[in-house]
Amino acid sequence: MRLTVLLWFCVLLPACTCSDLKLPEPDVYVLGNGIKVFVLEDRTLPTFRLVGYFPGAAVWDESGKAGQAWLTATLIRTGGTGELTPTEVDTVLGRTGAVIEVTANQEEAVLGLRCLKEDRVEMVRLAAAMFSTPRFDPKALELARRQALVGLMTLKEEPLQLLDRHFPELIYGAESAWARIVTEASLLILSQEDIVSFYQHHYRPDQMILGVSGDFNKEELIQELEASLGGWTVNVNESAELQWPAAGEHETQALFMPKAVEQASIRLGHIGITRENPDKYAVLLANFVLGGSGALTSQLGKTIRSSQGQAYSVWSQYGIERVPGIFAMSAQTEASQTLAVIQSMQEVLKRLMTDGVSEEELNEARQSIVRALLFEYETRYGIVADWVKFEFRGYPRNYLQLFMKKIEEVDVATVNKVLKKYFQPDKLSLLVVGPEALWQPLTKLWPGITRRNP
Amino acid sequence: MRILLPLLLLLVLGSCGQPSDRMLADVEPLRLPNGMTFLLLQHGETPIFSGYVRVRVGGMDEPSGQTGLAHVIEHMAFKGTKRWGTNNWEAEQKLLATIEVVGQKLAAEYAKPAPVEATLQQLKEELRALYEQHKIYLKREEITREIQRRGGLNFNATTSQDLTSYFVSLPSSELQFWAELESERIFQPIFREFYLERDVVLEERRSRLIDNPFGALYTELMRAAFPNSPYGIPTIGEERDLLTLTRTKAEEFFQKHYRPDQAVGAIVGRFSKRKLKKLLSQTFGQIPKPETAVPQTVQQISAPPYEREGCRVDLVRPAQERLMVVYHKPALPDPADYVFDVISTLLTADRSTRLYRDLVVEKGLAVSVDSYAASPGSRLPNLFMIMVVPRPGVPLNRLLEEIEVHIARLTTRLVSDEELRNAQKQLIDHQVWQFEQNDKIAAELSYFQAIAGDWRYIVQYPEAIRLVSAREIQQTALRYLTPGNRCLAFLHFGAGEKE
Repeated sequence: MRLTVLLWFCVLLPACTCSDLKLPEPDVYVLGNGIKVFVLEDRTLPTFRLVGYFPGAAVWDESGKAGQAWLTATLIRTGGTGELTPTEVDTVLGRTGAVIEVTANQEEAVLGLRCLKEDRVEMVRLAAAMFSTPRFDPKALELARRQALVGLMTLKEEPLQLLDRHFPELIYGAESAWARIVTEASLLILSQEDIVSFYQHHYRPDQMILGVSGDFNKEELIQELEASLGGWTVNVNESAELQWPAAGEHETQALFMPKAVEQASIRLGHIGITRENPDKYAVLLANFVLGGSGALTSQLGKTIRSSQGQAYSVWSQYGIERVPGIFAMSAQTEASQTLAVIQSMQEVLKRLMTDGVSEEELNEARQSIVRALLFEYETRYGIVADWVKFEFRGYPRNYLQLFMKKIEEVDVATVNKVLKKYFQPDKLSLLVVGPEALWQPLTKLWPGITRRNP
Repeated sequence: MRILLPLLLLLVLGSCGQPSDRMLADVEPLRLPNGMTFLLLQHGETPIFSGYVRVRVGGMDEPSGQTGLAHVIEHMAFKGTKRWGTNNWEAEQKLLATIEVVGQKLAAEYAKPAPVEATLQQLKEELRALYEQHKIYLKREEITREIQRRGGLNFNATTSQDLTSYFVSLPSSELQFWAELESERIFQPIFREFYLERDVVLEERRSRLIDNPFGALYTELMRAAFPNSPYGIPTIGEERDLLTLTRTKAEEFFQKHYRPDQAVGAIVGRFSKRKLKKLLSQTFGQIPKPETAVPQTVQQISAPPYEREGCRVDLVRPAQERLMVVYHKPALPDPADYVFDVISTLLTADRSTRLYRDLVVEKGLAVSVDSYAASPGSRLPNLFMIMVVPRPGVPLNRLLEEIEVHIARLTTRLVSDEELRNAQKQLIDHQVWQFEQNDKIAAELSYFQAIAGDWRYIVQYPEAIRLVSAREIQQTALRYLTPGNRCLAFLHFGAGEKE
């Protein structure tokens, strides 16, 4: 098969650039109601998978109503349809073993469906009914609310989750749509009207992008999709174009959250860049060398983990989003090492900015990233899911190959330049989750640090 | 004992099989002369593969007083070999011998009923200084960097009560590298930085078993439920055992258990079978064939059900309340093991199943309920586990009562045909999702080869499940779901002390 030959050709010759890859290309259809569908047949297993991206995301939560997107997504799945009560929906799914999930992430909401091929028609019809005629059953709403409240409590048991939850507000400011956190208060406020309103504003077929893969005949499948999902129509006066809220930026700040644990979790960072920034490839490589390659092989890892008793988990990530993301260095360490680790992280960053990356380091980083991307093509479903994500983000369809090519082109000079431009060791915000005993020492290390319970 | 139907017969019967049958038909076992078994499956269109190596040694095999060994040894495999991770093996070897002398003294001091603090400090200081010296020989994380450079993903390992498993996914061009590296570092690791790593494990233990409320609850439950079985001791080990660990003890344990006839490999992806077989023979095949019998580590454990009323654990923590209810059950291939898979599915597989629908959806007493058919392992008699998270304000005892009603129903009423068929279909079909990706396939194949002794357990599983009858479910429930055979664990909310 031509595809396989080309892929083999790529990886057998190390000098060859992986960006020359040719992949199976999904077919593209647009249903009558505007839903765009990417289709790739796959006869490996007698199964069917569907993924859909649509803008029912957390960033659109109304102010004071954090959790609105999440609750709407949950009720789409659990709240029943026009024809079926929630219990009846569960029974149908239980009978087939199919799984339908609807999740609201920060930037996109995702529909996921998987089933055996013989159940495909019925399951797609069910998903279509969930989206076109949701029931939003009040009892299901109460159950979802309860589960979310308990989920909040469990989340607070995990220091790393607390870092993820609270760091954005340090960077963007608490009022930012990109920093909103779901709280007990916001969960308790949400009403059925809030769900219905969110659904009406943000669940539109002309903003939905689907990917499907599995054991089917593509012409038949498109007819099925047209008959079921294609029947979902809405009357909208607003244009389909999305108006994304701005992120905002807060001046640097530091926060301590006490927790009765023996280890401290630390995050140090500042605002990042957007996806449109052409320097992003170099930035990713710089971050890889700093702390993105994993705790043990990166600069942060080698320096900070090397001595006994210091952080055993340390890494960095550089957020590149639709709005400026967040750059952060994070660590988990035995509490007594907290201050030392905070200082070490800053030193490692400064040193990297001064010394720059070596040719060898950059080669390794480039190679690691590009070669690992091969796994995006592991399954046909994986390819189709990538296409959906790229389409939603406004990337070209061959973004994977483009990305590989761009990474391969970055040189040492460019990385050293972006290190100085996009990393700011003097503008870091700090978040520490750890035992009470850390408070006093932290006030000395970082004057102005405030505190708040998780 | 379930009938092991020939694969061919199953294929002929067609619809009596399972969705992944066609794929399973292509699995090719390969047994090397030294006893190591490999399972090979060509799969997918992308030139990548996943490699799994599992060794049949885990927490359960550790001698008393040496718990935590298997897990520390797993960490050692990442430190390297004579070739990997060092720039001067000859010089390093001498220093490691010196370090071991001090390490043993430290362990001996910890082993005393009243260790002298000053002695401990002095020995630790000596050890620290020696490790400072040792640094110059280290090529830190050389293996991990190399894997990464070659495009590896998910390079990791795990240790359970039953098995130690090593895995990674790589581009197919790296197959030779994989075979050479893995055969060397898994079967001939050098235990360098042993005492440093031991300290890292102590930290890990603190975070997972002590800081984490659910981890603490689970650990205490296992201890209470298994007074006479190694499953009662956490795989990560007891603190005292970790402190008195020595590299010498670890090496003895390693020599005893890391044998090719106790190891299984699975390679799934794109490769040339001919070349791979040759490669395996040249690498893993060179590990010497053992001359002794496979060590017996566990004395006979009496089979459940047991008569031990009142097994119970109560923990207080400022955390989400939870209730765990466990029942002792035999391990596979006992017929009861299959029945419990069905029972688990009937009770908690999804929102429409008995416990979830009743407790969460209809009565609103709980926010989640799950069940697990075999905890904490599958080589020895183990546990059927139900876990519930209550709705705030609902007492745990209330949930226990509700669960007891459901348990009683299993013993008094036969499951309907429809419900049974649904559960069976779910169990059988569900397996297909383990066969989409190389790593999951390799994990599944190697797991059953290592645990059940035959990967074809997966092939005959559907038929075994289909043969489970309503009457058998009732009998199994009557036999095993009794108060004497049960243990309970309550996590109460409050400002608790940590052990």
